[in-house]
Amino acid sequence: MNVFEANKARKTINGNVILEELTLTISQGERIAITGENGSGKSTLLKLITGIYEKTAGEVQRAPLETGYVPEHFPETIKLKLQEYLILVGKISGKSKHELTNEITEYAKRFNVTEFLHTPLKNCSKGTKQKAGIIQALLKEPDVLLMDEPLTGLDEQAQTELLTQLHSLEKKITVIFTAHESYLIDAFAERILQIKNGRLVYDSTKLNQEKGRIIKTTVPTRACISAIQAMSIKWHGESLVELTVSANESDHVLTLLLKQGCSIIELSEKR
Amino acid sequence: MFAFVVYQLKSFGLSLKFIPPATLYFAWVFLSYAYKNVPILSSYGSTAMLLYPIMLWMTMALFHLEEESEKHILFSHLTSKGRYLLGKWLTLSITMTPLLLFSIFYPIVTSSFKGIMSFESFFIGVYVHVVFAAFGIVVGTLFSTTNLASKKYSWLTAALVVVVSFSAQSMIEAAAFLQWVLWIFPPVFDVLSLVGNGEGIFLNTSSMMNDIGVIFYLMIGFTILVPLYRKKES
Repeated sequence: MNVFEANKARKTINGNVILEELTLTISQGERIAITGENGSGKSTLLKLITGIYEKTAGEVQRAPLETGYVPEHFPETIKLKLQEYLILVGKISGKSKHELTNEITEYAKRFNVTEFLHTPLKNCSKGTKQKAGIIQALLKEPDVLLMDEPLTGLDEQAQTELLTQLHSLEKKITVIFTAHESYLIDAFAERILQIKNGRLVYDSTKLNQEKGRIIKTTVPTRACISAIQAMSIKWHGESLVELTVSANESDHVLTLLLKQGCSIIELSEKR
Repeated sequence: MFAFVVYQLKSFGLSLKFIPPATLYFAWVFLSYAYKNVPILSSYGSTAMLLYPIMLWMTMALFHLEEESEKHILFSHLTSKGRYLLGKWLTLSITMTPLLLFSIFYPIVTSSFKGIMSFESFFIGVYVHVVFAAFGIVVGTLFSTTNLASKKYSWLTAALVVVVSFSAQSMIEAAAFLQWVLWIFPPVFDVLSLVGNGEGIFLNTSSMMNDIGVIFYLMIGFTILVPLYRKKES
């Protein structure tokens, strides 16, 4: 089942084009990371998927599923106490107080916020608020979990706990998040979408990606690398070159380069 | 929906933003009945009129209560933006109830009225208070949840609408062509005519037409607000 489908969708806000020519299909159970620079349109895409935003043009279809949403910045002005807030939003989703109290106690222990349960959210630290944002979405037991920069403000323990929680989710639950950090992407995402200037420029399933290595080397002449089968070649000046090669081929390429008098500056895994 | 209304009432209560309009209203009611033996309908008319700007103030304060991110979280829990709007209106109805009850029963309890309260006067009193409160909610919602809300001078424009509503009749008397423009503003004088003309007019044909017009205005107003709100939240 498709959770979300967009065909040449466009989103403008106050006359500014934020997303353009968006064609995308998201299936149930996918774990997707949306990456891109600040202002590229990641959060807008996430809100378009949730239904918080509607398309301005093109076609968008969403499956009628329960969604949980974690904003990038948890609201600063909520005066309710943490537990009171979580119970109320949980009740809005149709859960009983008894059920919620037990679940909140459990999540509070896991995310280390038990001591703040009776503190007004307004007085909580940024990290605690961020955890509240995650807990409220998890309490809903959504079919689709959408998180906007979920690691912002989280300490290492909370980051690990979030990852544990995400791994413990049922496989049928779709998880979509925006991120800058590679931690969550590497550890959890199976598909990466990259947004640049409002356009989807990269969409790949990480599991199917060919593993690659980047070799940075200086060469005596440009002709030295003519025989090398590289995935990409990027020159930095006259003699410094960056080659992206298949992981299986990297040893062979390195030998070839050394034999031709090249000097290896750096070898790294391609992300 | 009930949980959302409770959430709104708690947040609104903790924000203390209801205190200035509520205090002003209670003070107005106390002042209105500072003297005894006041006429029933015109006194109710005077307290009802103030409920229009007071409920506009309350509406705008309630709709400005949340940051965008809080609103987005609530959307996800409510599963519909329409429920959010409906929940806000229900919260406002609950918020206006103590104000309405106070202005209806305070003069009765303190025996401030001249003469004996009839059922018709009581009914007209409740009716005009509810209608003026509804005018406030409609205008307040218009300047809080539609694209007019993002304009820099939304509070000022909302206040201007209240002023124009109250001065519409004088403006039309001065320049008759304005009636083609001013019909868009809440029909304040159609409601006030009920309390200004004394008892026994509520079931008159012309009065009935006015009342139907007012109720129709409110129904259209609330209905039009829904797509305008959805457009802003898209």
